[in-house]
Amino acid sequence: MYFDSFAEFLQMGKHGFYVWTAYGVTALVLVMCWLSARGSFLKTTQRLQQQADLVQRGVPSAQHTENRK
Amino acid sequence: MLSVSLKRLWHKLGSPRWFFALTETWVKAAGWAALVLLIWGSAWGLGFAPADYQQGNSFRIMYVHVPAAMLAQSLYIGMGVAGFIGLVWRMKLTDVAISACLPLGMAITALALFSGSVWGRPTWGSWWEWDGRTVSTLVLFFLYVGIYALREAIADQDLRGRASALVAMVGTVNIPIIKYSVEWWNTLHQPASFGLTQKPAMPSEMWLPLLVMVLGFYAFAAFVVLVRMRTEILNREMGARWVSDWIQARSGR
Amino acid sequence: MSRLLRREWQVALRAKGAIINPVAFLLLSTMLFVIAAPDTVGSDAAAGILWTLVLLTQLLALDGMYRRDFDSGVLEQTLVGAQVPFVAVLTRIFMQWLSTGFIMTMLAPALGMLLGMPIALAPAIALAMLLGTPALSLLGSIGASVTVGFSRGGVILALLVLPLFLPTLIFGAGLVAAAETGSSIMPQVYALSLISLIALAIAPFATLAGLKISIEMQ
Repeated sequence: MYFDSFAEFLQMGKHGFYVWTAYGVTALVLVMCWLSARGSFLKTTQRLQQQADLVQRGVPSAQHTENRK
Repeated sequence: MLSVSLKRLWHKLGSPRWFFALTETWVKAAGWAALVLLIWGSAWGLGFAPADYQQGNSFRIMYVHVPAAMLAQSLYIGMGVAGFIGLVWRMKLTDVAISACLPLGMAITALALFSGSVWGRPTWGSWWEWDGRTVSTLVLFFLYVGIYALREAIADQDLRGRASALVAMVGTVNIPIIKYSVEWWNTLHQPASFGLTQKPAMPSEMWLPLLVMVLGFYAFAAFVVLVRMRTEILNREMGARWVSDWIQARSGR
Repeated sequence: MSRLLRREWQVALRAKGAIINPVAFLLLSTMLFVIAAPDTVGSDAAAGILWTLVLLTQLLALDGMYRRDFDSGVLEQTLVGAQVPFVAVLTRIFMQWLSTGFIMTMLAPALGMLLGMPIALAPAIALAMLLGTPALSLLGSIGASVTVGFSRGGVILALLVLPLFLPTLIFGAGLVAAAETGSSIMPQVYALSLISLIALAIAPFATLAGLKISIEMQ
């Protein structure tokens, strides 16, 4: 470990604000990119699932779009 | 023999269904690799790498800024290459790739600009300096926004794809020209050369964590791009039989 | 080729506004600068200001480059009917340069004087413009070809085209600055020429591709 104590680690020799802001925002942006991609994927699979359910229940495909949000 | 199987591989690559099946495991691998590499690299860079002699601890921001800047450029060039392949070999999958790289590329470029600014303040005293790096990255951001605006303006999927491919290709060709001219401009207007532009040999304790972070960022990009591509493929192939088979199999789990 | 040129020339003569309006804009914006920031007259910033205004004028002129022919359907006919569409596009770009870039090249030294630059710089200014404005017409044509179908194409055109203009801006303004300090202008001459050549290599193909896409969008 480069730092002698946890307090020193947080302070980063008086550059703490900048280092942690940079890392924090980076983490935030990366997480948001991931969640956004994941959200789209889940929305699509949900829609597909809904359509598959309708097919199983025997609903004619012309009516599928009415149930789509 | 080899050329026949390569040609077949190339053709398969254009098939969304085959790509979807192939990437099922790749996505998971990329995601986990990204997580491990990013956490490991960050911990190493933050806590274990030595501080820079001149910059002190603020130089640790390099471990998130440099990978972001590299990725920002790579993603755009990736779009340009995809565009080229798409226009020459008429592969629809390349437009799927472009649409997947675009949001991530914009976010990462903005992130690079932000982290660069935060790094600059304690190190060189100002939140923003107009030098070769900042101008190049800023121009890259505008290149991304241009493609974004273009895609928003064209409704037809095929035409949107062709227009994006064209613009991405022209932009990619221009990136080295822009970089060179901006660097030249910088040498004239910035007599003081900051430590970042001249790279003294970094000891391995300093660049090894950087390597890990770069790999982590690229793995993350692969992960997000693949997720988005798979989503887009499902959207485009919604009526297909293989999609309904896949969703059946998935819900059976 | 000469038939195409003759036709373009006739069209250009009829559409005098396409030539006068950009010039008027250039003069007007120069005046705005002088009024808003009088200290820049005669300063080191003058060359950069002149070049930036030239770029923006070019942007304005680009918007109508293909629009009239696009709306009237002539564009499609020309591309389909031309024996070598590549040449038709190149002719159009050349005419565009003749009506905008070339005119600005002639006017630029005078505008430079208005912005307080010494008379001795006039040849340098003209040379920079002569070498740089073709790139602007060529690269701008790519953006114009893709956005001609958009109703609000102007902003997207600017977004697409200004990053492409940047290297020409850097070396164009750099050439004048170098002439001012007495250093050699040859690096900038080479750079500007190289950029224009690269633009010449890619622009006609890219423009043709862009026009085909826009025509299909109609």
